[in-house]
Amino acid sequence: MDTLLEVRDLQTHFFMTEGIAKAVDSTTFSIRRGQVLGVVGESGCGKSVTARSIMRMVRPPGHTVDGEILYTRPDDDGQSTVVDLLQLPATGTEMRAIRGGEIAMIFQEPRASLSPVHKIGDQIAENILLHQPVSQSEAEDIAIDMLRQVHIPLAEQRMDAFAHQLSGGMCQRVMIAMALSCHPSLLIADEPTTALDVTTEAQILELMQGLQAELNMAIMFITHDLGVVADMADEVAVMYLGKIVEQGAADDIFRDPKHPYTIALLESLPRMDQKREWLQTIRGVVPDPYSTLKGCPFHPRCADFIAGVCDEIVPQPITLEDNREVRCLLYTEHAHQDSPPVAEETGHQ
Amino acid sequence: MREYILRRVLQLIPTLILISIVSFTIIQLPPGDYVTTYVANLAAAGEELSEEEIVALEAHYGLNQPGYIQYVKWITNFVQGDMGLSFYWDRPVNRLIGERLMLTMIMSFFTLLFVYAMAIPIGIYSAVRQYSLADYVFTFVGFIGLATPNFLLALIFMYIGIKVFGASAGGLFSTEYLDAEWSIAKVWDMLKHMWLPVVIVGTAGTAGTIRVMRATTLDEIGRPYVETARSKGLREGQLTMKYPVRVALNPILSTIGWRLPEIVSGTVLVALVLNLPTTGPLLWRALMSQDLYLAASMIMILSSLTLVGTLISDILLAWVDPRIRYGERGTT
Ligand SMILES: Nc1ncnc2c1ncn2[C@@H]1O[C@H](COP(=O)(O)OP(=O)(O)OP(=O)(O)O)[C@@H](O)[C@H]1O
Ligand code: SF4
Ligand SMILES: [Mg+2]
Repeated sequence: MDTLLEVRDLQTHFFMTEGIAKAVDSTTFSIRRGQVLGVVGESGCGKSVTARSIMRMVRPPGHTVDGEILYTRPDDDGQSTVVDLLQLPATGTEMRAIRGGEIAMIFQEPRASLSPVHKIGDQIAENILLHQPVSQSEAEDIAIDMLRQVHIPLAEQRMDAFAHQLSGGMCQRVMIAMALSCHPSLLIADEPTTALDVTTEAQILELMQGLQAELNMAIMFITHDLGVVADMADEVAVMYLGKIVEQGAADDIFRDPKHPYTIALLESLPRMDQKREWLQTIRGVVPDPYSTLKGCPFHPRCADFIAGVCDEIVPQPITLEDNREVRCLLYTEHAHQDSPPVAEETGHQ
Repeated sequence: MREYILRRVLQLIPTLILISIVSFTIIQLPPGDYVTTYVANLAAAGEELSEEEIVALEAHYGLNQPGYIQYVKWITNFVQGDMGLSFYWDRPVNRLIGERLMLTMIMSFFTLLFVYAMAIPIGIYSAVRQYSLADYVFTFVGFIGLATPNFLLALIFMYIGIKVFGASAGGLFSTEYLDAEWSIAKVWDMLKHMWLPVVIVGTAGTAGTIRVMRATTLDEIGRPYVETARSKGLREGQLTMKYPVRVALNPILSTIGWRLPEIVSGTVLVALVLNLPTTGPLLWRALMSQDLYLAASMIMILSSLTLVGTLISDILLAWVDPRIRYGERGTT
């Protein structure tokens, strides 16, 4: 398995006056080279913070306090080395070379993500100049070429346009052109189509799929829309309250979800707006991130809750037969015991 | 862009005409005119003027004609650069205003310069280092600066000037240069005197601008486009200056035009206290004595300056903010 990025036990907390919000709390997952990982979960579960942690872009009061982000970097001589991004200074030269050059990111609000006062051509060229040894005019040529690749008509004229002159879909195309201008090995897309209408969303998704295959890059595709994940992803990671509760091949997960939270999410397909209602009216809301819940974080809402077990023991990730990782006590020996053992499940780390 | 500027300049003309009418009318609104005030003052001193003398006086000043004729005469001359006669000083308004106007403009210019040179870097620093010790200090000092009336500052500085430096803080010139011809030495002497009123008049503006600059920069620092810039791998300092600061400067630049009248009128009180030969005290006296042409001309000039200031900031704003240049706005 050709692993590109491996996140282990990532912990990013926000230190607020109200307390510590564990936005990302011991998250473990991995992304393979050239594959699309869909990350799904409800609003506030920590998807964006996970993405920003990988980019080392978490801003105070947020801090990544623990974990490893192992990124496999290709060398010049065809070999590769593994670096732990968390060991690099966040604003240092090396991390800045990776950020935008090897790992790029696009965001939820395409127009707001572009500067209102700079020409889009200059914004794309800036990224190229930061990471490639080219001249200003060469960078502009590459930028025009990128705009063509994302199917922006009249690419040359568009170089001088400003964000407010373009539609939301066009802005996201520009963002994609900018992100891909240095051929990153990983693109992090944080809900890139949430703000767009359905038709535009379909076009952007199609574009991303095409470019992904063409450039052979990996994508971490964050969304709360399982339908989009089914379309796009090779692998799926389901996130709940700062933790990945289930990760596996997309086909396996859609065919046979293991974690009760995944099952609940899938039952709400295809009507996503009903999902929220179902979960909220029947099972309450996501606990606030300051709470220190005992046992499994999902237990107040879980349909398969085992009294005396789930509210006592913190489930650890375990690997099932089809290479699936699940954080649920149902798949451990605790589910078959009358009284919980004192020792905690160690599981796969 | 050129079209935009042309359009704006053309728009100035009707505005100026309107202002001239309004200012001329407002000065004539209080009952009586310069002659009645003059006669009343003489009467108070126990001196009576005959009916013929009064009529002759009114004819001399042109006050016997209907208001609109007075206006048309004044404005036609004004456009040609002749602002008429000051009744009170019995001298041409041009001569009376000339030097004071120049001094007012020089002082306003330096005040603006002082305000921006202090406020913009401090505002940026405070925003970037939010909640640092320096941020707290600047915020506190700025608060005091905003809350202290200018004339009080002027008095305090005058007191310090006399007590500590043994010199008079008033005036813009040393005695030996007061009536001297303009020379390098006189300019230097003026600059040495001018920094004090500039600081006094500029303090409130500086404090206010620091707050605006800090708040807008903070606001912009959290915007998605700054995240994008960071995600490209730009250096922190570079990206701060190029993106959020650049955008945060827009409202600051756009208010240059509004600053000007603020400063000019802010100068009036300080000028009275510090005994400065600027336009403020002159305008005040002209209004008190219903000195028609002097008052109207000064209001006209100050309003024109304000309009030009606004125009300049609008052009600057259009230049730095493409959303305005194209006369459209994004949906977000
Ligand atoms: N700037 C911040 N200050 C304080 N807390 C924050 C901040 N950003 C994120 N958090 C915390 O992190 C949690 C996760 O936020 P995150 O943005 O990662 O959610 P998300 O899964 O991306 O949700 P959405 O689908 O709405 O984008 C939030 O619930 C919040 O408590
Ligand atoms: S551990 Fe228990 S509460 Fe948590 S998801 Fe599994 S069954 Fe539900
Ligand atoms: Mg998010």
